[in-house]
Amino acid sequence: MHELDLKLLHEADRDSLPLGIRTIYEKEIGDSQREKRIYRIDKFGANKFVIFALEKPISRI
Amino acid sequence: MILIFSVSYDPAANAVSQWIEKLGSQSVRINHDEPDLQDIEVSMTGDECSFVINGTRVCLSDFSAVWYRKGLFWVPTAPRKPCFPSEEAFTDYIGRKLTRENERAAEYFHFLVRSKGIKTLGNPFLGDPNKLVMMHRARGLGLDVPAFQITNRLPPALLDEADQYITKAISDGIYFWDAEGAKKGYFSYTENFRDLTQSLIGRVEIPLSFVQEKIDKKYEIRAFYLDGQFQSAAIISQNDEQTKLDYRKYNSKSPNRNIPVKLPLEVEIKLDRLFRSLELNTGSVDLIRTPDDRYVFLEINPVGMYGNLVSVCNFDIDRKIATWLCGD
Repeated sequence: MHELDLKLLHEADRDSLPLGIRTIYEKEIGDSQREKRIYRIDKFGANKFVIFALEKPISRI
Repeated sequence: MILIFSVSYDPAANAVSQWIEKLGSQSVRINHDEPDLQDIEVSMTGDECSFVINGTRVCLSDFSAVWYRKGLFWVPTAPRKPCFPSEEAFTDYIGRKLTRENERAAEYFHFLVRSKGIKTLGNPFLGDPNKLVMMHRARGLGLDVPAFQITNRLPPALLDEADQYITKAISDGIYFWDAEGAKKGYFSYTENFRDLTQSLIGRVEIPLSFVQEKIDKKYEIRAFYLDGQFQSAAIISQNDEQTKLDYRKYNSKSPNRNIPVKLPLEVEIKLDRLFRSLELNTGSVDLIRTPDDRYVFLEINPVGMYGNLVSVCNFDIDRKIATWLCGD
């Protein structure tokens, strides 16, 4: 994780950012971290009705 | 049957869904970020609402509880909005109008849920509460709250004492993932006021910004609240330069220690009153315990992540939520 280079912004755009969000951090998302794991469990039996998706968090800081 | 509104990458909703099943009940989950995956038919007539999800119809009266966990607390909608060529302003207007149309429909759904007496966890109208109002109310209830100001001026006196302040977003901080385009995540945290203002000496006008008294820490506390009960953990973040101002700047090489703690009863009572005044029955509270043993309130996050409390502190929050949802 590192700071986004705000110098890439036009000065007026940079100056329009409130102080509280003027330091922005960025983190690359690796391919393995973007791997989406979705388990769909559709059980429409008499006593089961579950739909849910599981996905590994994209990343941790 | 339990209805859960969330998003696809929410591990808490996954775990609670599994506990609900374990407890012998059933759940239906609607993720707002899966418009292509869930073709949900919606019909609201009179005092009834029905969904057809993957070909199966369920009605509002089938649900004994609704958990407003994450997302927009409504069915996912197609992301595409109409574009009127050469009519930029009208295109923007129509985009906002479509959003408003959906919001009104969602509000009616939440009204129906409430009018039918279905128990709810979370508040559908308070997914993104106003931090300033919350701090104001907390102070009114006797909680220790840092002094703060919202200002678009930098008077010399403020700059002279810059070390005594921090700054952060007035609303939620930046938290944005662009997995498909730039393949990056973007974040903002609490920052030292002096670091931000060093380059601004001589300037008077700034964009409207949040400036708050810096509070010395013995440790930070994250407390999970569920209908009057708290489970709290101390986060030992003050000994690490990376995390001392904001523990969310996680140090993955040397993670902060998390230790279960018990808040003083007096603090829990005041926090409980704050939750009730906000019409919230669950959420996560951030506090600081100071070196002189004050408990300083920072904020409540109604949809906060609590996974760390479960995995590190061994709190059985998922089961407790499922039990609450499945209870009478």
